[in-house]
Amino acid sequence: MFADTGVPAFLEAAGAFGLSPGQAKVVVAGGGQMPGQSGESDIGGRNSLALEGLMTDRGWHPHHRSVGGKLNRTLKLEIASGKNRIQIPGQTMEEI
Amino acid sequence: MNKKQIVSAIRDLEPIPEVALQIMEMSRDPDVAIQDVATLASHDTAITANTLRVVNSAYYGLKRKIDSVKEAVILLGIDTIVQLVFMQAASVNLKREMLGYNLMEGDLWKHSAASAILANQIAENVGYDEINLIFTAALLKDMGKVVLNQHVAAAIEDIDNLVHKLGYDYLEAEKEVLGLDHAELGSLIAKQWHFSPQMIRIICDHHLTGGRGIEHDDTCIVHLADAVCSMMGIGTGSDGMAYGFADEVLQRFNYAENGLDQIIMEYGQKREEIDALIDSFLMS
Repeated sequence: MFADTGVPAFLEAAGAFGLSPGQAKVVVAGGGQMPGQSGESDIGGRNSLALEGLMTDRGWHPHHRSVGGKLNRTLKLEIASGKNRIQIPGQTMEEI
Repeated sequence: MNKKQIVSAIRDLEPIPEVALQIMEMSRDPDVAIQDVATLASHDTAITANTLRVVNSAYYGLKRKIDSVKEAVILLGIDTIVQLVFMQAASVNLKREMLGYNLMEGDLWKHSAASAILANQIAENVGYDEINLIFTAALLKDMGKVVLNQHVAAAIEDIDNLVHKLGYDYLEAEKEVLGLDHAELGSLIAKQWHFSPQMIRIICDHHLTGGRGIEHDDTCIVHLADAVCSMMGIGTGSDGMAYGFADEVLQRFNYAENGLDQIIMEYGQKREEIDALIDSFLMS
C-alpha cells in the first residue's frame, strides 16, 4: 500500500471513529530516498507529494514535518502522553 | 585496530556447515536425485531438525505432518530445501544485536532473509536461472556487518560525520575510517567458508559502489533486492538509506515504468506469510 491508496483508507477509517481534522495533531515523517533514486524510482518523494495533496484536499494540515533527504526515520508515538519522537541516524531524538 | 585484526575476527563466526555447501552444489545439477539430496541433508542433525520444523510450520500449510527430509524434498522441491538449510545456518550469526549499526536483535536477520526472498522473486520475474545462488548471496551479503559491528560502534562519530555532514556513502565511510567495508569483509568471509568465486564477487559488489559489478545480472538483482528492503524499512539500521541506488538497474530489467512499485506490491501481497517464516528462525 502506498500513500495514494493508504492515506485515503487511513483517513476514512479515522473518520469512521468520529475523528475530524481539528481534533488531531498530525505529524508526518519519512519520504527519504537513497542517493541515486530519482523520478519514477523516488518512491519516498512521490509518497510525500501524494500525502500532502491528499491531506490538504480533506482539510488535514500537518503540525510537523520531517521528510525527505537521504535518511531513514523511526517515528515513535507514546499513546499515554500523545508525544511523538522522531529518530534520525546520527542525530539526537526529536521530541514533538 | 588494523585491517588484519578485523579480518582475524572472522573465526568467531559460526561457519556455514559443509553439508549446506554440498547440497547447494548438488542442486545445480538438473539430473540430481532427490534421494541423494535427502540422504546428504539427513547427515546433519541440526539441518534435519530445522528443515522438518519449518516444513511443518503454518507457512507451508501442508495437510499432514512430514517426518523425513526425503518427504520434505519431494513435497517442496530441492530449491526450497536448499534455501531453508542456508536460512538456518545464516540466522545463527545474523540474528544478533548489532548496536554499531543501531540494529536490535533480529533486525539484520529480517533484512537479510527478506532480501533473499525478494531477490528470489526478482530473479524469477526476470528469468534468471540460478535461483539458489541469488537467494544465498542476498542472504549472506551483510555477514561482514556481524564482524565489523563493534568497530563501527567504536568509530561511530567519525563515520556519522562523513555520512551525514560530508555526504559519504556509508560503505565509503566504513572504508575510510576502518580500512575496509562490510561488503569487502563479507567477501572475505565467503572466501574462508569456501563459497564459489561468483558468490564472493556478488557479496563484494552488492552495493555497486562506483559502478563495480553493474555488468553482472546476479549482482544487480541482489543490489535491487537489498535497496528495496531498505526502502521498505525492513530491518534497517542507522545506515539504511545511506547507500547509493543504481537507478539503471531498473532499466536493465525492464522495471523502469513503475517497476519498484510492482516489486514492492508483489512482495507485500505475501508479507504476512513471509514475516511469519522469517520470525520462526528467531525462535529456533
